[in-house]
Amino acid sequence: MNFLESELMKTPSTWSVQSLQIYRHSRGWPELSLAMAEKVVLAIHDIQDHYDVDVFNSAVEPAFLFQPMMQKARDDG
Amino acid sequence: MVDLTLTHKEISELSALLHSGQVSAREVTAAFVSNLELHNTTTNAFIAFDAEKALVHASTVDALRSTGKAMGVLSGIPLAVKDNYLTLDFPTTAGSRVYDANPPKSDARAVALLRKAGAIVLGKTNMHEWAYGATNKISAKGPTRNPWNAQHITGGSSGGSGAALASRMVPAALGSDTGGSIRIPSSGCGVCGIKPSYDLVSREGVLPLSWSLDAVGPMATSARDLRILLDVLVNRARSDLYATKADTVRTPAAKRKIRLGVPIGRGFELAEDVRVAFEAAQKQFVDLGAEINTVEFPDMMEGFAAWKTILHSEATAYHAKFLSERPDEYADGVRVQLEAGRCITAADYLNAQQFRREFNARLDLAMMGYDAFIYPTLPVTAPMLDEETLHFEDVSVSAQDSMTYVAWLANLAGLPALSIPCGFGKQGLPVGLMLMGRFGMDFDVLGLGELFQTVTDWHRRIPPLASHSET
Repeated sequence: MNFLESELMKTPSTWSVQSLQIYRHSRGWPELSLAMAEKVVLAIHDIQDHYDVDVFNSAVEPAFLFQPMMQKARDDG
Repeated sequence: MVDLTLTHKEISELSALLHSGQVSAREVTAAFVSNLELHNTTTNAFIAFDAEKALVHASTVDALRSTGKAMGVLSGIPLAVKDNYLTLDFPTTAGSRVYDANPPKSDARAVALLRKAGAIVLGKTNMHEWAYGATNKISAKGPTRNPWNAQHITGGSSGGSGAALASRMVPAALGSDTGGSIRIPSSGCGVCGIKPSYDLVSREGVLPLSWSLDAVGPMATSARDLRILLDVLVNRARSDLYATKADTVRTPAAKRKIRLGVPIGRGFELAEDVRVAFEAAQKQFVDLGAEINTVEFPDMMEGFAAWKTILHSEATAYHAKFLSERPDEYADGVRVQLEAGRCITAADYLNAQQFRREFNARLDLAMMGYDAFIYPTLPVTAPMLDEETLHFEDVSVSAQDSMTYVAWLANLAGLPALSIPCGFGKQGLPVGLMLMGRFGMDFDVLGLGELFQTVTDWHRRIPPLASHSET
């Protein structure tokens, strides 16, 4: 995997300014000024920085236990 | 000259005076227009208005009334409309330089309903650009300033409507709410606002921010007035959406005990002065016979992240064309968020929506048996215009994130949430109390607000700017 490919494989939450510009270039979007790119990278990190990935992703696991729990609570009145 | 006896009244009081002929619609409109002209330079609440047209409209209302014709419930009541609602007689900009659509073929549905009920549209109110922010510091027309202290923000994104109500330029206004944008400026400016249950009020003709989170709704100076406005606004074709009717009014003598939940856990931190006001509000409810319990509610951080992921994805999807063609016309602070939204993957968006389902089910379970969850709308009072970071308890957050700190919860879950004034902080700025009910219980939530306002007068407090006008 070359450098460009490895940059594109990164998840956005780990991007640097360089990763962002490479991604934008790959999509045919215009390059951002350095100041704007820095702010955009911070905003990207900020969107996902708050959460615990395990908790977040547990909601999409088939084994997630909450729905049966709620049904039981409803059944119990 | 401003007639304070008129501008300090609620809609219900003005309607009674108009109906009995003690005052004309023209006199009412002229009184509010005078306040607008006096205070708009300080607050920057309105970005477009037409006093002459409003007065002509008011005279028409008076002429009709004199014929004995049946009048709408809002006949002769001046109204402010947030600048993301399409209107036939005023340009719509969403507080931005980007939007320049052709004149619309009709008013937004909500505006049309209020006009049909007799309301007189005075003009359009300032807002955070594209409603994409909760401070109202970013607008093509300049920031909105808080009538209680012009060095402070109003909160947003319906900040112009909040400032217009607080300074008594209008008795009624429209706002929109994607993460608190009706309730945040209501709290910041010491007025009342309700984000209705998702889809209870038609969003037709309102420029979107995030389709699955957006709600539109009324703002006013009392919960009683919100009931009048919401009753006009509800989407009658979707009566399945509301479980309680407009005539549902709570009284202290109601047979069933009121049960209120106070959510606790990470994500519910508060500044000390806000906590003091909140505790006093809880005591008021207890004195009214309510039972209050704390309710452990986890995963607020993950819920916040899901809300942000959905918000940014949907906003960027809507703005894709403008962002490609006219990126430099956005304010930097808005463009940054739209560019960030471009980088969220479809998988992340779908996972956030899936998490939302589970999160909302958990919230529904936590709220079972409660009439409402109550909590301060904001963890702080309105920050200063140049304040970037806020600190309370062990938390440091941006001014933006402090505004949406808990308010987003009602949008992620689509629940009705009301904000009413419940005191003042140490800087003399208002504190708002949020009452969030279960889906469709909008009028029940308003009933709780009305009950609170029978024993408190926080909603009748008026900023010095508007209470010391020359008479």
